[in-house]
Amino acid sequence: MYEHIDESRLDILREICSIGAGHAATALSQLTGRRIDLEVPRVLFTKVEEVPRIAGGAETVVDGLYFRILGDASGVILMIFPEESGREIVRLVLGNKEAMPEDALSISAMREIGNILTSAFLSAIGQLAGLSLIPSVPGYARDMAGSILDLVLIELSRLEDTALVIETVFREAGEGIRGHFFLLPDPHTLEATLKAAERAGSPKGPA
Amino acid sequence: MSRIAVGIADLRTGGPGDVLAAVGLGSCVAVAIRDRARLRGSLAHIMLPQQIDGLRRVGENMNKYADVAVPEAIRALEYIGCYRADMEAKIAGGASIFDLGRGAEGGDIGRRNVEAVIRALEEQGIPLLCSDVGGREGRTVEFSIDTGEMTVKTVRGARKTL
Repeated sequence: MYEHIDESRLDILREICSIGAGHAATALSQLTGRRIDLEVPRVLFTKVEEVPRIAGGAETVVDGLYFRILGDASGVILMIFPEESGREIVRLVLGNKEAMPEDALSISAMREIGNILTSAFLSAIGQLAGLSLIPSVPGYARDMAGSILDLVLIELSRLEDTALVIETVFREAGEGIRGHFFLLPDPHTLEATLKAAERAGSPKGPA
Repeated sequence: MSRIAVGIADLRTGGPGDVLAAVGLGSCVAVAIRDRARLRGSLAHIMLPQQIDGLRRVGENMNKYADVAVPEAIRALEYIGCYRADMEAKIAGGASIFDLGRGAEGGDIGRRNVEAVIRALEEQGIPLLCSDVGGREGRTVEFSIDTGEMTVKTVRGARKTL
């Protein structure tokens, strides 16, 4: 199903995602007051069974935020923060040293942070590709990475046993904050986004 | 003894001393079947109730479907000398991890997986001894072939033994 994705289109994809993720990282920096760096996005074609391993092992406890992409495209965005990172982000955003790990306020803050990052990511991609992309209301859970990922894997595996996963890692210089951002476009959306981006001209790197 | 990991969409069998483990089950369901007389058993880590359109894709891993994995597990056990009449099952999983709101796509997949597994076991005439299903939390399951015990761990809750 992904055979029409050749090397030059992979570059475009990486480029688009890197710009989107750059906007999201900037938003996270502004929210936390910390400098957040971004790894070059990896585009992975992977067997769905392997995806939990990419996320650091099925049993690692993480904060997960799940969004459906709405508007001119469809797909799923999943953000995963190791639990210490999740706590640190919430603490920085709320400015509260005593923030409880799982109180209503922290969870609500986490959803809101996810919303801001995802919106930043999608609006940047949308502008490049000339598409209107909106995130759904976020689903939030703190649980084992495997449990958090399986809903996504289930959706993907209805269509394919291989997933196209675009992964970006956010990292603070001091390693206090770390997160994985997964974009799982459905194959039709991927094609539409690439076509639109190609029409719009090859994008330039983030400023 | 050896611990055998059963990844997502996988199906494994084991013998005396083995522990079959499925880690981080969200809406997936772990189906343990054991021949109580012969100390052989299997664990399947299923993802979906059944194929949607009934079309089989070339090379598709069919053990992710409840309606395929359950009879396949029984066949695999019969192949290593087990008898259906001595087989019994335990299941765990099928949670709804994310609060996706009512009617959201994928929101009830855990419940549908559990229903499909129960139906498949009934069709095959395998008694379901006990289950730990539903809820909002992910589970890690370990199934001991020697004792037939299934232990279920969650991140917050206490360890349970089925």
